[in-house]
Amino acid sequence: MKALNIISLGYRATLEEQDDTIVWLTHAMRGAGADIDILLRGSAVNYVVKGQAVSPLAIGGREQKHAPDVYGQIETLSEKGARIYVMANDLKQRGLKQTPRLDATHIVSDDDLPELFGGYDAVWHW
Amino acid sequence: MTTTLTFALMDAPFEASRTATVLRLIDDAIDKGCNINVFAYEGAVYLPFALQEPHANAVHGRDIDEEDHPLPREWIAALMEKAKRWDVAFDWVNCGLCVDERGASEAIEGVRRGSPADFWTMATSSENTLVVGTN
Amino acid sequence: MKNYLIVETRDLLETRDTEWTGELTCKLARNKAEGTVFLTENGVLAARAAYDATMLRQCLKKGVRVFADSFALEERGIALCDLAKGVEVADIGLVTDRMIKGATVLWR
Repeated sequence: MKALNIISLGYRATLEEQDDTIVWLTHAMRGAGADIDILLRGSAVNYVVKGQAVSPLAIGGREQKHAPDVYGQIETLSEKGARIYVMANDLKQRGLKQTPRLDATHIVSDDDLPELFGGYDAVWHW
Repeated sequence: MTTTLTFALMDAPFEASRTATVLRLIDDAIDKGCNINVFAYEGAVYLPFALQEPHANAVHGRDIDEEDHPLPREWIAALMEKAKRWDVAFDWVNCGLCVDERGASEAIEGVRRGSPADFWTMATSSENTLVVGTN
Repeated sequence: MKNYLIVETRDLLETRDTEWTGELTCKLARNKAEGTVFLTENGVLAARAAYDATMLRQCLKKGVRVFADSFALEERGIALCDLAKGVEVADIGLVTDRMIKGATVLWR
């Protein structure tokens, strides 16, 4: 079975979780043998922007050791063979058309979606 | 052949209308004779949390018994019971790491601890899977 | 033919992202797939005829079937006579039925 995970909401609880939890889930499922790719849309398209970084969060003196690295999570996923699709219109609306981003991304438009979806047994919108 | 449907949930109880809508959907699916798999991810691991307690409602002037506030764990237990009556399977898996970080290990009977691999197993062995993400 | 059901739970005016529900469903419907929208929770607010719901009107114009959850309509005091032309009423069982029949269901 081939599945496509659609991620629309970026940076949701990523500081607390130290990961994007759906990207993490995708990694874990691929590790268990799943054939899953991801489609980033909405604010999640920002995940492929190069140069983003966050320092470990310290609250009340309690410091985080591992700050989230959402770009790195996506990069590693692509290195493991997952296809990373990114919605063109969402990049454009957010002024990201010319912004340096992860090379291993496949930019798709709304017009591409019917065919893209058709190539998967399951399409899951998180 | 019985249809098996898988659901992935994310919302903690009492936070989003999605929870009640999905439980209505699962209820309907059991009525239609479907086997049910639920993978509870993140906050949803609190849905079957055993330590949920009802409360009175002073604003409405109702004591605990009068308020009779259904708790998500009760609804889930009721769905499990219904599934038994209908002789369909009902498998609820709480994502283990989500349980750990939330301290939600005390779940009602019938809930088992699992991992994302279980979600994939559920999805590949059912006729359809619905993911209900969160905001 | 692939069948898609998009469940829209949000008030269409609350977030612009609901526009994508309409755009996607219309595109799926144009591409030899069946696209249907099921409004529930605050999504049913747009089912009122008096609601300024461009997305909904466009879907209906393009032949997309739009259903509103009867439970959610009642919860929000939306009577049958208040509904926009073309919006159909169904209960949550429509989603179950479509799942059983193998439709891809996207929850928004």
